[in-house]
Amino acid sequence: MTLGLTINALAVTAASGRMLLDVPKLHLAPGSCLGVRGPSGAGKSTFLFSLAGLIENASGAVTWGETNLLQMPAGARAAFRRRSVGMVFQDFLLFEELSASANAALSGAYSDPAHQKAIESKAEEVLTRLGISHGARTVDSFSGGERQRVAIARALASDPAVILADEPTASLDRKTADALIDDLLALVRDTGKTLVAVSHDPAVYTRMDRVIEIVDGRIATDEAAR
Amino acid sequence: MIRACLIVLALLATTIMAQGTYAHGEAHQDHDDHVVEADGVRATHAWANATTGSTALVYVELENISESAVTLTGAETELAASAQLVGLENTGGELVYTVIPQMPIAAGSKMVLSPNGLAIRLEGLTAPLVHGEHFHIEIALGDVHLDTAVEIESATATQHSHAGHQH
Amino acid sequence: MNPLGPLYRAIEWMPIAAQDAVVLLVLLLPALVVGGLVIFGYRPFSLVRAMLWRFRWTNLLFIGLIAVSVGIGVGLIAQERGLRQGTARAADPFDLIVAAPGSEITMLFAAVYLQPSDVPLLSGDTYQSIATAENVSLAAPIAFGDSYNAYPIVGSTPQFVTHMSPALVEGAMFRGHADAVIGSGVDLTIGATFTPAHGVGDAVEHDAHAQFKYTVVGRMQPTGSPWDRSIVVPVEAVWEVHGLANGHAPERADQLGPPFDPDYFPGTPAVLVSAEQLYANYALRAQFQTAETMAFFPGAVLASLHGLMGDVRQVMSVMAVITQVLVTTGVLVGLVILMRLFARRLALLRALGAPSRFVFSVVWSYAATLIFIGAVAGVGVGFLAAAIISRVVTAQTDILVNATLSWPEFHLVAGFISLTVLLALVPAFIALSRPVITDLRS
Ligand SMILES: Nc1ncnc2c1ncn2[C@@H]1O[C@H](COP(=O)(O)OP(=O)(O)OP(=O)(O)O)[C@@H](O)[C@H]1O
Ligand SMILES: [Mg+2]
Repeated sequence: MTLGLTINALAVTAASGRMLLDVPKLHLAPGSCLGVRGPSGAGKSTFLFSLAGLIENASGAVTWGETNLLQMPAGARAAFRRRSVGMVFQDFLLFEELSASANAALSGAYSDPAHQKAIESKAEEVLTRLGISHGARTVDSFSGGERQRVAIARALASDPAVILADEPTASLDRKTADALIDDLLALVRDTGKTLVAVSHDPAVYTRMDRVIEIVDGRIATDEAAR
Repeated sequence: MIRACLIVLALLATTIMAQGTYAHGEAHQDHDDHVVEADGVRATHAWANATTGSTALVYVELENISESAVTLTGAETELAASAQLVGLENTGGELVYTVIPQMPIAAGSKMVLSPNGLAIRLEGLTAPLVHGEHFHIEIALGDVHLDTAVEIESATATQHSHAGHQH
Repeated sequence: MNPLGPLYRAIEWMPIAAQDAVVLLVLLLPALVVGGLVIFGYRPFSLVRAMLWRFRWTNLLFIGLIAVSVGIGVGLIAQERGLRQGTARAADPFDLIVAAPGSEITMLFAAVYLQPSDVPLLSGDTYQSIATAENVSLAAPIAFGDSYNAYPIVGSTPQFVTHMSPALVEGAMFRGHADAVIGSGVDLTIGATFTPAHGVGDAVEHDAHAQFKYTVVGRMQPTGSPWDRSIVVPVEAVWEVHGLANGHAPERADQLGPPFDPDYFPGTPAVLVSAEQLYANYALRAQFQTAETMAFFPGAVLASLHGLMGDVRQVMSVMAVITQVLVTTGVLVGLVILMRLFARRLALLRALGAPSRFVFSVVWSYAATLIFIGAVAGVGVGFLAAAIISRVVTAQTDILVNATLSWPEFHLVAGFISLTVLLALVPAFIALSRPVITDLRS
């Protein structure tokens, strides 16, 4: 299953009244990979969170397929994320005391038993694909690169239609970063998922289908990747 | 002004006195209910604590005013499946009520059934005992049967509300 | 009064142990139902375990606080029951006490617990009428007032010694007027001699009986009562020491024990009366409730005292629960604060799309686990506290107190668990109301 994205008049305003994000229009084809770049503090993470329906005071429309997230109550948005969105956060956010496998299969803890099995085997599969062979070890002993992989495995384990990744290669060396982004793109493209990846790293967004640049909460440039 | 006060006082006094008479009359009325006498045995001040449970203890003062000994053998009431004489006993530190099949009362002597001593234990009560109401119990002393009203006192009472009166 | 009354009534046809087990379950039911509703369909425990482990020292402190408050609470309540049983057990040999009219409680303390006080004496004629009454199997004078080294000396008869201690652990019964049989806890050896002092405690006059010496000839079994620290001597000797007639006519002056001659009977503060049958004891009590004598069952006096203490016990139980709930509330407030440390993880779960009830169940299970472990550890602390307090009380009063936790305490703990586990819903709600993105970025 694939999902396309349509944004209409998306605006996020801080409590102070400051405009954080203003996207009048954006369309993303199902199964495409979008890179998001821009200076620090420009609103890239805010943009990504809006796409996941995590920003409470966003206005406008963020429509994945047929579902306009911004018009749904919090519970339905959570259900949509659970079903259709995999997220990779800027700083991993893993449960340090759990094993890599348990972290990757985290969503199994709150899904129905049949689904849980699928999530667990998918998590193992992705971990193996990403080269994590010691899934039983607790992640507090993992390196930054390994944590990044576990975080990606967690996003992919429930086989979502959409992957939202915030700086998936930050703090990795060149070689590791390249290998990781290749793996991620392969996993995403194999199954026709839609990917939105925020990154400072030109090596990441040159591999995407399309790249937008956000400056001061607005889309400054929007171009196909070379 | 002074006259008006005196009249009011006089009126008040009459009402109070009237009430006093009335109250006394009432006490006298159920007085008869508190003492039952048959064949030289007198039962006074039967009472029990209010309860919603299925067992209750009935207390009563028994006096043998006859010339010969009598034996308290048990009791009967419509309100309970069984009624037995019991006595509090210390058995190795447990204070428990033990059934006493027979209790002789010597001629001219008194036997007081009171809390933490002797009592008639009712088991299988068919209705709750409600404070202020009363029920009837038949105390068996050999051939003599005493039918007495049992006054239901509060759940925490430790004596009959008229205890201390001389009958 | 007792909110569990109707429940007990509904199940009174069951065996006692089954009733108690049912009540325990019913008390735990709210906790089980809430737990079931909160957790149903989810598997929060690996996360809860991870969170518990992450802050293990803080959690241990919380568990410790709950355990100590629960333990001391139930320990004290068990103690109260242990004390009641201990005092009643110590009074067990004393079927019926006959004394001169006065305070039953004063006489109970003096004759049963050997806390002597000045009381009027019963005359020889009175003693005679008691000893010869129908169904009396034992009528022993209890003549207290002298002491040796803070051990009370009590004058009585060989029959009384046998009543207290059917067999002697050491030595033999007294045969001469200067022989003494000691309680199990008296620090004297067989063959030791001592001089009695007049009075007991602060009022003691050491030289009053300087010319007299007792010899220890036997030792009684432990009774778990102040009688373990007593010295029993022939009542004849007590009278002789005080320069009185010795209970027997001059031509029979060497006799020990009953029958006594009323004309030579100087008096005794109390008489222990025993009959084989319960009814006979009650008949004797009725017979000796007269103008000259007071007759009472120590057990009945204790039961009245316990009845008075019943309210105290209820107040104590309520106070114990309140204290425990207060401590747990403190712990839960601590948890709300601790939740800030978990805020990012909880926000992560919600960002990933975990249902609110799952996040709720994680927080609640976390708190409930602390409460449950704390309460169970509290039962252990309670056993320990009860044992320690028992030992102290026994040492202080010579009344053997064996307090141990039983069903009432388990019921209390079950009620406590249910109550606080409901309270634990509060931090769970609070955790849900936190802003996701703010927590995620922190
Ligand atoms: N709740 C909020 N209230 C006010 N300002 C906010 C709020 N959330 C974010 N901001 C501000 O909005 C701006 C955009 O933040 P955002 O995290 O989206 O930037 P970013 O582009 O992801 O930056 P970086 O590359 O450093 O991650 C920042 O200046 C941030 O301080
Ligand atoms: Mg960012």
